[in-house]
Amino acid sequence: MLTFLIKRLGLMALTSLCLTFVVFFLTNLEPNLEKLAKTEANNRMTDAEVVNWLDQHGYHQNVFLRYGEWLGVVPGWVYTDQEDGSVIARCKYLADDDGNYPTFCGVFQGKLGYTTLFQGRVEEIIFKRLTLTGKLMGFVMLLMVPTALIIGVLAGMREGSRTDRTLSTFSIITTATPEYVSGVVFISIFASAAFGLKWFNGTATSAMDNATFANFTLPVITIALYGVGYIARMTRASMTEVMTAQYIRTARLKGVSFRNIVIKHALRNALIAPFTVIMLQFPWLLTGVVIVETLFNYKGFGWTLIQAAGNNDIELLLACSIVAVLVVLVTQLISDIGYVFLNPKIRVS
Amino acid sequence: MEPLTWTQIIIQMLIQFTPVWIAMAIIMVASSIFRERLGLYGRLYGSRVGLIGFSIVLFWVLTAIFADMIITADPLVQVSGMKNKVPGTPVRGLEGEFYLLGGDNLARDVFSRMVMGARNVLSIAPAATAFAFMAGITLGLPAAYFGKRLDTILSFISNLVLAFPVILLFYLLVTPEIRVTGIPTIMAAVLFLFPIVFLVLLFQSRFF
Repeated sequence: MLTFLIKRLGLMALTSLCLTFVVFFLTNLEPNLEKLAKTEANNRMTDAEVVNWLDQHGYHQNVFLRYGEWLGVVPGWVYTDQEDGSVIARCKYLADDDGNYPTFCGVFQGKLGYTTLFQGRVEEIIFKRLTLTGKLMGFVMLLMVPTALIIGVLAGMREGSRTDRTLSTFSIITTATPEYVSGVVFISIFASAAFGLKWFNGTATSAMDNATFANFTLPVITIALYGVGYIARMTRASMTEVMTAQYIRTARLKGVSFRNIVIKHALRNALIAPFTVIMLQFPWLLTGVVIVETLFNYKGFGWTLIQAAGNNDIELLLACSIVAVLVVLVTQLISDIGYVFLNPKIRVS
Repeated sequence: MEPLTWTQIIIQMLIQFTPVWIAMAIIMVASSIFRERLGLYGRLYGSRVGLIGFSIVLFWVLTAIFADMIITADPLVQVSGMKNKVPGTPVRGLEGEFYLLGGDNLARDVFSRMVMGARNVLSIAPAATAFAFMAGITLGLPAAYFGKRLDTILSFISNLVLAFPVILLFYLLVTPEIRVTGIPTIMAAVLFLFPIVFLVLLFQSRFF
């Protein structure tokens, strides 16, 4: 088990290195840098001035060297002006009162850089935004998982019955409706004057400090609904499979009541497969979060990602990609390990 | 002129789709008559779910084909005074013309845009799926056949792709700046290799 864990963690580290390098490379392409220089310094710079600015700020070093600086294994860029002695340095934003700043500032030092968009340290911004998204995701999970499991179990316990067909249709409809459609439909039905039902708010901006029933319901439902259908269908499939198993028939022939068969015999085995699906649902939720947070103007992680990408805020975007990649890899790891514990037939080799 | 009511809008839309209804009726009646001889496709007509699914697909394919006949206005033309209008609003200055599903924020006809959009979707979505299919097979087959190191490397790469958040990739690739660098062209060139390899593979496995 331990060697398996170490191997997986090593693989995870390698994967995140590769992926962040791809993002680093794509954000540091020459046209992107030119745009950055123009937004940072002066929109009307000539081409020569842009090149000069990029040279002075160290953007024209080798891309691997710069990636090393970002990682914190290569000393940060320092440029001293020959005429007035002013210093441009990568780590200068970390300077204390005496004007001293570290030579290395990178991921390994726990410094994710300086965001040009929000004017602050990336790790602080990311942490703040992630807590907000965490709140949203928490409520989504709280709503989505129980609903989906109940629907799935009810539908799967008697395959082909009227309940099964009704619930299956419902879950197919919800998975077939993407967030950007259901979100807009919900807003126009429940939050606009078009139908006269002004039950909820169409924006969740106020939910960032003070989440209430009125301002947080729509974003949560919009994300949850998509996942509900998918998990419910997986649970239904797994439940119908278990219900046809030999030991269920034996229990039934012994005279166990249907309720007891479902709750005591079938449910535990039927919930193994949905566990993996729920875990793998997290990365999908990330996409949903980006859409929903933009739609409802909830300034969480997804919203930050959009802003960073739109403004080519390189270091913020890199931090976002680290978070996104880690979410994917960690949920994969948890689902693999959890599966071993839930299903005694599987062994880690 | 009076704006249309919802019943009138729906009736008008059904009338606009006439070529689609006729073609659908012909195809479906003909197919269900000769269902015995049509093999797998004919079996679709045996089950209700299959029939519903097939008619949805058929509807959109035919809509894309007959889009020119269905649209009520040019999907790109902006008519002044039609910005963000509700469904059923009469077009200003044109007798008997309506924006059946309203105008968008650039004063274009939403109904015609939706119908024309079917063409774009139907040309992109199947192509994307086919490319994914071909690239997946041409990478997966050698990984499984040769195994060992190649398998490890290819699995690692595919895990990389899986772990990459789609929305981030979208934002990185769909910027005007990235087109200057030529990366989309290079990606297209590399992606175009896969169908070629795939077809050569198919040919090879069939005739040699």
